[in-house]
Amino acid sequence: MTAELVQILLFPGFVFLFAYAMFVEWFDRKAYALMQNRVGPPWFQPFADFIKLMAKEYIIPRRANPLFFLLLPTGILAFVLTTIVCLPIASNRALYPFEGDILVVAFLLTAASIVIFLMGWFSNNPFTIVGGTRAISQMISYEVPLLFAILTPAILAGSWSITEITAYLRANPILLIIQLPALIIALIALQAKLERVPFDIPEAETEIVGGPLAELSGRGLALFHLATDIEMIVGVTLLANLFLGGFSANPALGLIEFFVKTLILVFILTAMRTVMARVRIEQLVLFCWHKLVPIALVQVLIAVLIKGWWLT
Amino acid sequence: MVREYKNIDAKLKESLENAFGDKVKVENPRPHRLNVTVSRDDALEVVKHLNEKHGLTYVSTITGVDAIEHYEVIYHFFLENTVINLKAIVPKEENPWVHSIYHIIPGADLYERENKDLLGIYPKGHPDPSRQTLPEDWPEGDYPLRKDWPAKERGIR
Amino acid sequence: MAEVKIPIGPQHPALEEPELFLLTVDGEEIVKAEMRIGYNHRGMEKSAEFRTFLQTLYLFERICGICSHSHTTCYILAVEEVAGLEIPERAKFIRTLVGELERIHSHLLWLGIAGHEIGFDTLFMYSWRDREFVLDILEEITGNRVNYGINTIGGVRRDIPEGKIDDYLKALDILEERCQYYAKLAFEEGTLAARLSGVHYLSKEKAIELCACGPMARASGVATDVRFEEPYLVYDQIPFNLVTYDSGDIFGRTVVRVLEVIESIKIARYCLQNMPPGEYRLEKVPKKIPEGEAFSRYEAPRGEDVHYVRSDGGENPYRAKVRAPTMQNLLATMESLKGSYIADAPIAIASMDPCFSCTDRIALVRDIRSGKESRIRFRDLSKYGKGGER
Repeated sequence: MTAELVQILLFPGFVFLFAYAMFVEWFDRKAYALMQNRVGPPWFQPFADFIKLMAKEYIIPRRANPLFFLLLPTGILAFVLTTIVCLPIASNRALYPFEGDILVVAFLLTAASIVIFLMGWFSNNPFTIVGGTRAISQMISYEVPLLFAILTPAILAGSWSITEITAYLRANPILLIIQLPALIIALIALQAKLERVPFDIPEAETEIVGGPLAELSGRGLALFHLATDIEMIVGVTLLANLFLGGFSANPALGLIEFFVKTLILVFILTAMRTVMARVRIEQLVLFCWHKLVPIALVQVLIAVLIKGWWLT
Repeated sequence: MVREYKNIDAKLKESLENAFGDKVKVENPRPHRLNVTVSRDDALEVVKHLNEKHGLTYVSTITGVDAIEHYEVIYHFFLENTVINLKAIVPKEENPWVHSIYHIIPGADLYERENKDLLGIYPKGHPDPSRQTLPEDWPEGDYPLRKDWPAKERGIR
Repeated sequence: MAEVKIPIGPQHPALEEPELFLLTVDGEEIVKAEMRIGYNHRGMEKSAEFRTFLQTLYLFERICGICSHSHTTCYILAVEEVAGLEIPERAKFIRTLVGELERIHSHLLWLGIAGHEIGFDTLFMYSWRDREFVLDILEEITGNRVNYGINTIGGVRRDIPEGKIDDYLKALDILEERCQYYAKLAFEEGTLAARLSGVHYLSKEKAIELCACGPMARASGVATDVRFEEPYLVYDQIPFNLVTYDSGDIFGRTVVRVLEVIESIKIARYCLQNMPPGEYRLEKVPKKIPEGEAFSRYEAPRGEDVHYVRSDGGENPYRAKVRAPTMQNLLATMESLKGSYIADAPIAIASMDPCFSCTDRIALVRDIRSGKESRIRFRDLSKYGKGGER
């Protein structure tokens, strides 16, 4: 019991994820800055931002719903942190693996996106409401290709547990090449889920001044930002598990493998936001349904055929 | 290398003098400039004439001047390398007005409203001459660009 | 969803200056666009009546931080026409040179802002980095990075520094290479075109009807450019091209501006290479300007800038009228906003390169509750700046 508590609280739980979230945010911002010919922030900047925001007053606007305004920032953090129970982080085994936990992780990440919509809705401000509705339209566009993409390794491995899928793919690395298109789709969908350029349509500060988060301040904003950072880590860890063969059982090797694989994926996401302009919502919807979904379906079909003829 | 330009000053001058005779006074102070002076009532006709006969569509701006004895509303048009400064003389009266040229040149909208705000010259026939330049709570009938406006007391230095 | 009114401004991250655009949206589509200008009205035209011609020049320098040279040159052309002054050839070249450098700096600034509006911050960083070349040259020639204050009645205040022309030419070469690259990028890169094509469409007919000017009109295929229509300074000697594009959308405006930067570099290079020797200002300039009136046009980076000056024979202008290009383009912008998406509103408003400080020109701060006017006097302001002591 104590060991598990330590695992949940310290490593690979809250404390580790918090520290790594700060590092990844710095890594993202620094790489972004260097690619733009800028200096970029010092390594402690995300941490300093977090402390500063936590120390600020939490203002609840008169028109907002105070209950939800207090609940939602904690809620989104809870949703993304719960995923660590089912997700192997820096090891080959999750804390509590069970058959079907891949769907739990997908569900929790979707719940986090819905919290963003609720945040916009209960802030009751034209900008936040427009932002919230945009978040929903964006969600129904990228969720489908994202689910199809993570379905591919599940079909290949014949399991609904992340730990088992990873173990199976590690044993058969040739399959990783087959599901490369799924990885690309998943990366694009993840960028949309994280609401980063070019898919930062719900937040779009030059159009709707930050969208659902426009009314947030102080602690709420700090928790939201933290949750977004952890969501990014959870996302890339999930992809590293499903598409890059997961991490070694050896603790030291596993940690190194974890850092390398997640940072590569984060770097791809950063590069994506450096070279692209924000798309419009209807461009995103068309792109997801006309391009990503068909490719993902073909990928799933290929996976089914391979599973049916070759692997059995 | 000096580029040559088509000059239609003379043609425009002749056309205006033929059409309006004594009502207009046309001067040509330098190439590509035509200063036309008319009374307020004829200004609209002159604009119509220029629009129909010469295809005038472009207004640069409309200047309102308080010339002590009267107001002047100067329309600055531009037509094929020639600037036409159409000066409409508006007599000093309680509620000075000019004919709006909005229906002929929609681009004049903002300038007519600006003149109404700052100089108090009402554009007759404008569909929506609402307040444009000055704040909403600015008192009615307080026109800063008139020469009798107490600028020193109001803080202009 | 019911109709929602989205205010863009008076304070909004997409606007650099306070101005209100009230957009009525149905979902994502704009069904009605209203605007309210005047938040920046500083009463410059009135206060010019209480200043001498020279003081007014430096007042008009402060109409706008970006196109300050345009406003002063336009004003001074009118004043010199009234006064009947013929300025030295070298002064004309220096004015043209500064004017073109200003155009390069303004267009690159716009390119950066446009990039930021569409969430493309990399473009923003790159174009603002390259803008530094021009700002450095401007600083060396005029002494200031913005609000150059180079014009004076009867010429310019400073000569080009000795032996620096080669350095400037070199910097312009690098800049031209970069701009060629951006132009290539604009045509070949997919995402920028996908984001900007067809957005905020302004047809040629509408552009003519609503009297659009500058790059906005040129991107709709209207060949209007004061430098061609009515050459002032030395533009009738300089070979350069009029850039037009007929797509009528924001992509067209981007292309027009990038290509115009390249043309401006050519003009600036021509000015530097063919700068005639001699005086750069008149020795004696009358303080009193004879009675008369003049109307001058100038192609500012944003379009046609227009000044009207009337003198009654005294030291102060009787009337000085300013009309900035943004004012001229507002109607066309509002018209085109209808039917586009809110996602496009910021870039659509930005695409006319708005300068509301230019558009509005009274430092009267009214206390709405008491209806009393309150102003900060300069004395109080300097006291405030020194930390409230004395």
